[in-house]
Amino acid sequence: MSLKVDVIGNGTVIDHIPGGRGLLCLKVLGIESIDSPVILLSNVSSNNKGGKKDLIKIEDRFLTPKEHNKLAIIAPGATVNIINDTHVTDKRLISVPEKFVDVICCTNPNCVSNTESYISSSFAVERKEPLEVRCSYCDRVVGAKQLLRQVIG
Amino acid sequence: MISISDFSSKECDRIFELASEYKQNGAENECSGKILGSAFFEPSTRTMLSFHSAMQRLGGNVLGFSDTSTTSVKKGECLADTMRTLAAYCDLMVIRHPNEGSAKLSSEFASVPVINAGDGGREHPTQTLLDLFTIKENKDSVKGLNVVLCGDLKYGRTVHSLAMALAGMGADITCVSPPELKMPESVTTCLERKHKVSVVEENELSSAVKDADVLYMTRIQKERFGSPEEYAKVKDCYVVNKEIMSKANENMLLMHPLPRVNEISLDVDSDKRAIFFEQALNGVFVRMALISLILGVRD
Repeated sequence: MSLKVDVIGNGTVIDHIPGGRGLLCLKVLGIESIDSPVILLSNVSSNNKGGKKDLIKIEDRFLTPKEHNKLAIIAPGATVNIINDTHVTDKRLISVPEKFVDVICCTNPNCVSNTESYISSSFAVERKEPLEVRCSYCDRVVGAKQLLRQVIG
Repeated sequence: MISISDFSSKECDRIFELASEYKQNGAENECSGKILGSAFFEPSTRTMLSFHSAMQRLGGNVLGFSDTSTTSVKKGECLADTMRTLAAYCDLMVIRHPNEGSAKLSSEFASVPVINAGDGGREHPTQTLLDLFTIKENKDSVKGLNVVLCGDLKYGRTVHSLAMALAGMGADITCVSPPELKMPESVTTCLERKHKVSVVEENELSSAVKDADVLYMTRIQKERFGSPEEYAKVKDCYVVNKEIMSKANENMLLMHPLPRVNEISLDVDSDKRAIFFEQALNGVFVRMALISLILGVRD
């Protein structure tokens, strides 16, 4: 089945989201507070990579660096297209960074990053698949499931 | 100096060489005019006093606190401000704090070097250095030794740093603990991935001790438990007494970071294999070496 959706004038297109993860991405982006039109295509066939993918189009909305990093936890490998006047003016791959700074909280309640509120949490990526990060302060290892739980709230 | 992994084996060897020199010959006033800032947010006897002793034996001075109720911490001052202020008054700082990562945070704000003297349940790297120094004084090599770590391996920060260092030097590690106080997965995973060491787990101390070259006991820390009932469940679950020692080989070393409560009977103290007071004494020489190297009065 082929699906045709309107092009957007200005905004963001997030493509190649792993199939079924589109709704989670919208949750991270705060779907309930987005006033402009949003299109979500779920489980459409992915021409390039085979299998299924999700796709999101959001009018007049651009991602912050923090949102970009949160999406790296949910949808690594997705692409973010910035649309201006119906043209793609920038295209970025959502890849897992070397470090996550101020994106998630340490799961160790006794970690100094939780008790001293003025500092930013910092995690070094230990493993990308499945994603596993290590707290730069207390060394607590946080796995993919816990990370996902945190970013979708 | 935040973690034992901050040191290469070459740097460890230099610390041990210098510690040995101080133990044999004492020291001149090498750190005269230098000040050690001492920030102890948690109680300590050996670590704090041996740091103070080390600095004074090197001819330096010490200022600081061991009771936060007499400082601005009581007024709500944050850790970063306390450490930044103390750093302005000294040349080198040592910190003990109940929260994991506190030494690293301090090092980010302080203008002078920071030594971690224990951050929550995470690490206690200078204890590790003195433990390794003590083992090396008594054994030809760490490589191939079977080191049994016993007691509270979850909250016992000394064993986390020690396990990392021992694994890096090629020792085999056996862990003996109650199920609720097992070595954290973050440590065992690191040992396996970084040092390719598989940790052996045993329940019975009496069987683990038979093949041990070193038995390293730790205290079950009452202060880390949420309730007295939880502590009562595991209290005194492992006690080294004459009977346990009779099963160990005659060259085994019995070590403990101290303080002990009941996990080593007093009647074991006279056994020549019980070297924990020598171990505590070595803390002074190792810390002297560390201070003089960090301050650059030795290289």
